[in-house]
Amino acid sequence: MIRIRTAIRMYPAVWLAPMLIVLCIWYARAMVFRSDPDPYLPSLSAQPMSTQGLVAPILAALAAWESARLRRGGIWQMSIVRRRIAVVAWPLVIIWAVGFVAVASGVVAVLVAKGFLIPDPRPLAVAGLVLGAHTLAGFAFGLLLPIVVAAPVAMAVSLLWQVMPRAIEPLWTHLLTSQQLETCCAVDTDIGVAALAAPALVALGVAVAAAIVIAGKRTPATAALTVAALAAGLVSASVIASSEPRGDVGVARNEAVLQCSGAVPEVCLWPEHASRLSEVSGIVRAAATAWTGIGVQVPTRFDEAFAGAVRPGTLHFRLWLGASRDHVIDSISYEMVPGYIDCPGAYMAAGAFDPLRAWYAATAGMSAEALGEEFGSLRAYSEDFDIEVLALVDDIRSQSPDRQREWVERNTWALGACDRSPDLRPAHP
Amino acid sequence: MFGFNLLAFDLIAHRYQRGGPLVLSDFSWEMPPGRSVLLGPNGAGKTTLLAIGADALAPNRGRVRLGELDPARGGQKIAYRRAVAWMPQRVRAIPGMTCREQVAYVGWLKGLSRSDAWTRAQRALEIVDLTERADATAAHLSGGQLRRLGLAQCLTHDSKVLLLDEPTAGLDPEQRARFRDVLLGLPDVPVMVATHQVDDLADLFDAVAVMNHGKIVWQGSPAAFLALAPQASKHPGEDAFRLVLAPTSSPSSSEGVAER
Repeated sequence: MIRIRTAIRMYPAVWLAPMLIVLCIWYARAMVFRSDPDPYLPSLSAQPMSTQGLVAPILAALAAWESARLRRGGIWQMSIVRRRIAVVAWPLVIIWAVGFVAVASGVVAVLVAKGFLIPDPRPLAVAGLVLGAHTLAGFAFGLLLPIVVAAPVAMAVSLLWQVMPRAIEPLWTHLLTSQQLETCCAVDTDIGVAALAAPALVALGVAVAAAIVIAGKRTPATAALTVAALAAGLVSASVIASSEPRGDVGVARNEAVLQCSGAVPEVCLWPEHASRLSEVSGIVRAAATAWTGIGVQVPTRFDEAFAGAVRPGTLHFRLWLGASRDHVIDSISYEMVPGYIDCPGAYMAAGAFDPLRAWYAATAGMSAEALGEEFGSLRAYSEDFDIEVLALVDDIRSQSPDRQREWVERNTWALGACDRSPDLRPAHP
Repeated sequence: MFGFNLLAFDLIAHRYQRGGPLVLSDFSWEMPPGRSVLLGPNGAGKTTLLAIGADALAPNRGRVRLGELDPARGGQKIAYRRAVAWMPQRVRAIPGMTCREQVAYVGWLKGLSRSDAWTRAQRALEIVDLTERADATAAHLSGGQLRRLGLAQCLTHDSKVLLLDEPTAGLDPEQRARFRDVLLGLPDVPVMVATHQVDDLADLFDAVAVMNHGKIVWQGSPAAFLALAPQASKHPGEDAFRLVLAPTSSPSSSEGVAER
């Protein structure tokens, strides 16, 4: 019913739209491009979701304001014919659309900078639902609260709703807000169902509860229904979110899309890095050859698959598009060393991790400059032993291949349990 | 001249709070045809009656009908609400809207299509003589102009009955005179004006009803009502009103007391 020129003159949401859009574009770019992200669509579509933290509270306040406007105009005391939903739809749709366009603008601004045009629809769909819930809740606040405080209270509650679950433990509570999507995703992960479904269910519960309030009938039954909708949303979202106890947004990406070199050892990269497959294969092959020359066992496959899915004979390493030769060597060297064990007490072999890593890197041909940057400040020590890691590695590498292999094997073995002492000395008795 | 569908109240009972006083109790009455004025002191139940008549307030018990239309019956609520126009005691400006926008918006709320609402808003503003202020912000109107805006809101849709609650309360004499002129120019539909002001009854209305303590205590023509006052009375309307309300009085009327 409201004409466009009336909406432009009357609705603060319309006045704020340009500012919100500019703010979202700036904020999304600033947050995403703090690093040099891979051109990975789910990640570039999910990370700008941080803008919801700015937009949603503003939408809630604007909705409360419009709700208060209708109250002040005495609309609900009139014997109107239109359904309430039709009456409130105008301001709500305008407010929601302004917020959604602002958030989507942030996403598109990020995507365009990386050569994409069409976003991954999943984060935006959840954002749409969440922004709708904040808008409806704000409108409900405008109906329930004194007009003077409705907008600020709606804004504060919306802000808390965005911030609080992400500030508490258990960690899965972080998944209850869609803002958590901003942590998604490394190229080896995809957006998890829990990260999408949990905030969507919370939003759905809030939206239904707010809609019941907006519908206008204030009876004990509708009050119970409102509480039930809120509880259903929260409980179902919590059940789904708690399936990811660490609050991880990302889940292992489908490995079928990996692109492999075909040579031995086989190197498999994600499509986003495939342009460097030949170059990276060469670096890996050279490293593997050097390690094999010493007698160290080398995996037959190096891939970028999610590290959680460990397979024998396969090494999962991390790469990014701009990684240098030294970065690639550092990454595979890191993965050649067994990972830390979560020990109840002291992890006696922990001191072996850096010397082993440095040995792999140096043997694979990492430049002296990179070695110095990475390991120059590190020391290897035990009860009767204290030496710079690089000096130790130089010493080891000056010995015969068999002695080097023995050094690698015994210290690698030590890393496999909490109570095994490493023996880093070059000359093993 | 007037439609045959009259507003009827059947055994209406209403109180605002549980345990509170009954504002209306077993109230049954049929609104007279033509222009009628519902007189009564503050607290008589006039506003409650009109709000129930407009279906803006659901009575605790009883029914209100307009001819065959019963808002409590499924499917008839919309038709009923379209047929009854109500101007509440306090006409409110919708913040940010111009007069034209507000009248059109209320027309749309009453079920008019978007284009009809805009067309009829213009016509309604002409009837209430607010065309010059059509593009002014409604919140900036004076009290009298706001009442006329409220009346314009009632005129946008095809109502069969107009219920106006204290349309001239708080207005200065000039504004009241202007409002009366507007009332005289209204379309030929039954109009009920609730007021406690009793000037110019004969010129404006075809029927008078007096309400007190939730009952209609007198009903008749303006001439019969004014005849209740002493012959030498300078303010026959006020004197007749006082007489009707006086607990010891037993005013006679050619048309009788309509209390049921």
